[in-house]
Amino acid sequence: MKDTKNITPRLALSQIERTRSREDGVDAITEKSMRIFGCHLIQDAGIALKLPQLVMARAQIILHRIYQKLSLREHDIIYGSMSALLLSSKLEEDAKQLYNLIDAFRSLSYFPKDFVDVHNMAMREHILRTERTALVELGFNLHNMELPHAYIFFYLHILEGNDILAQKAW
Amino acid sequence: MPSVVIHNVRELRERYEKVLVVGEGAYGRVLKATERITKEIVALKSIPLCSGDKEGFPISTIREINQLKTFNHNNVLSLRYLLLVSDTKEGWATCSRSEAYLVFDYVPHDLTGIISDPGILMNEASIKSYMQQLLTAVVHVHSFGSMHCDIKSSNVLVKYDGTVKLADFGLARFKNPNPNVTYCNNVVTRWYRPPELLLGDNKYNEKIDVWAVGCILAEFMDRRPIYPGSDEKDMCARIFSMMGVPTNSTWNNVEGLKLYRVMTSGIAKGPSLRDHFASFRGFVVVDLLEALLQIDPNKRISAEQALRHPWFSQAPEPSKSALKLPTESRNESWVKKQFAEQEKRRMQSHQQQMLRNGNRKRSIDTLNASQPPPKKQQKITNTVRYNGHTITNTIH
Repeated sequence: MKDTKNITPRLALSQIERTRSREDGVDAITEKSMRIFGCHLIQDAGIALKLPQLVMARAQIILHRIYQKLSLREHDIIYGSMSALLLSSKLEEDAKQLYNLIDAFRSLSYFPKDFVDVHNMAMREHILRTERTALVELGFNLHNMELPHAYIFFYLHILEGNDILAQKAW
Repeated sequence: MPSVVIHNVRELRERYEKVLVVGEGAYGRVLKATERITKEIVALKSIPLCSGDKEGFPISTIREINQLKTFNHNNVLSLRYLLLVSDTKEGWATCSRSEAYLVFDYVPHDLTGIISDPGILMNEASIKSYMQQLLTAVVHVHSFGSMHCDIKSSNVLVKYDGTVKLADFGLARFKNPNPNVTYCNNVVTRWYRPPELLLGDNKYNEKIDVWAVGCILAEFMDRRPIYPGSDEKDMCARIFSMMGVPTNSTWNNVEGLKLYRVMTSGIAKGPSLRDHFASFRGFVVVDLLEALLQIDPNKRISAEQALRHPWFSQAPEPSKSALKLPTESRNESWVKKQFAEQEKRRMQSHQQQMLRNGNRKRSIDTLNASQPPPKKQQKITNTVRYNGHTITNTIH
């Protein structure tokens, strides 16, 4: 029942390397570590919110897609990961209140005390803006998202890998 | 065509002309407009984006866009692009007073209008064609594991050439593979709501759409809604008096449903479905109707099975163009306007009569000259008539 409309888009390597952040003068290593940091944030906040793993995995895909189009200088990785998690929880029909979401990020040990504040209206505004920008940049294309985890199973099956290999790949 | 178009208000006026409001509901407004350059008529569905939104972009809209982008079928109204409007230079994402619209092709008719226009004579070939197209659209939607959740005659649009377009995925959602997941019970416009929803079930499946399709078929045959209940209790009374009150032996575990006791008390036995459609006795279509309007969702046929029903392969063959549709649009707002005019005329004639009566009476007895006009009663009928179309749009 799949038609061409719903195939996950794939980019060439040259396109992947030419991100907006790179044009803005962020070098590759910084960008990579920033993205990994964002993914860690999403994972830990998701656990704090008791969200299913699927939501976090999807949020991480959204995060990578967002920063393909947005600059890290303009849109902070913290707001980016927050809005990615917000969007993905909406997509998976497990929407959390923004208040609880920010609270989950606050409880993480990454930030200095009172850096993230639930009552900070400017912060809420920032997250919502990033969410909207992200939606526009993605062209509202959230329907064609394949999880890479399925591929892991696929290749494991071919390679006849065992559980240890699977755990490592995860 | 890009999927997202961003404009400010001035550019918007340059792009579209003849903007008219054609529909209004709980979701927002629907506008009809002509694109200046291509001269194409489009329908713009506004998305409520209030400035004080605390939860970001509304989840229902994300859901709707997701659904629309997934489907690709001739009988499903497809999304052309998204129109984002902001009235300042700041841009859409940062401006608090920005608006968003979903842009669709404009489709003039809908089934409410066609069914309730006395000037249109139905024939079996066209009804068959409409039902077939509607069912193929529903099969397509269900094949992606999705439920429409708001099928009703005013959401089934018809083009001039008789092509059916299923519209309004505002309540639609994808089914969760986990069977224990509960959904919001308050979906589907009341007149088209199936018994499992009325009894408070929140683990329903895509069969709720099949019931609504059955209601539309009955509406075609009767030329009026089959269960125009004024509230949930009345809906249950209407359905169960026709079908019989379900028990555990006829519908597995029905008595465990939340509202079973409340809804099934004091229901009088009425004429059965076959008696109701006695004028169609011996026609195969009643078989199909009975299968679609089966109160037990487990026994109700699926949309795919319905398409294979012998009625569709029987003569006369389904034909899109068997029905000559008028050039002016016949849709829900047309019906409402018609109804309001009728009401106005009745009021006027009533007032004239009152005046005449009053004059005569005044000469006899000046004290109790005129009776109080039955204004209130008319208001009630008005709300009852359209109560079936009101629905809360917030589901979680």
